[in-house]
Amino acid sequence: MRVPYVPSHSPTPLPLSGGGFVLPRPIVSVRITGPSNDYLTDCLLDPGADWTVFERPVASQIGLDLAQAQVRTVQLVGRKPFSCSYAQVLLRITDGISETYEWPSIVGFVPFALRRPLLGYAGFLQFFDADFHGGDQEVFLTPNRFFPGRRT
Amino acid sequence: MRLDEHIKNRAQVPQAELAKYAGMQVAWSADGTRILAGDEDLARLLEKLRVAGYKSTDFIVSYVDRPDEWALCGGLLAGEDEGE
Repeated sequence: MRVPYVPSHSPTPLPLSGGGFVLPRPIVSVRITGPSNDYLTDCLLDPGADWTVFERPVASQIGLDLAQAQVRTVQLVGRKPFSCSYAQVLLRITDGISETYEWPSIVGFVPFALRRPLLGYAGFLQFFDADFHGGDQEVFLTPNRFFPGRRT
Repeated sequence: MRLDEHIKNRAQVPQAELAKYAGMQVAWSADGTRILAGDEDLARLLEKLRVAGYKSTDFIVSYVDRPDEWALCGGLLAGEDEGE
């Protein structure tokens, strides 16, 4: 599945080779489904993240009760350690044309604001081979042999 | 919701319009032509949408960057089980 980068515009020149006012980011829309509802949000593909994480209000939105969830202490670079609650959800991505993938996944819910949910290894990139094409500003996601869901 | 159309439409929204929501979580309409609501706090945004009667299929939530706001993301490190 091809995911085009999303441009972020700057009012001033960026410290990029060749200059420019636009920084592209690998952002993909993900539908997360819980016991009673679903929720569609833009997320950042982040190979540097160990986990796939959302903000806690997302758990409430999809009807997840985190009271009994597994909790781990996690460290984020530049921040104090925090508690992250993990629960199983259903994730779904689509290119809107011909490829849709849906799979059960264990994701984390963090108690602070994220600019964007992070699609890290556990829960997301463990199931997809990601081929980042910086020059063409696109990434190709291919489900690997561990992908536990279905393609429609 | 056609995501390709949504993305195409969203790209047509003027930067001046987006600038009003800089630093906020926003809910885009399903067709990507307009922003339904925005708030710096995601929980408050979701409450606004609920009160306004929107269903989950009516919107996509996304963050609007502030000008010159760049991030070093990732870096989530495995920790310990709490209570151990």
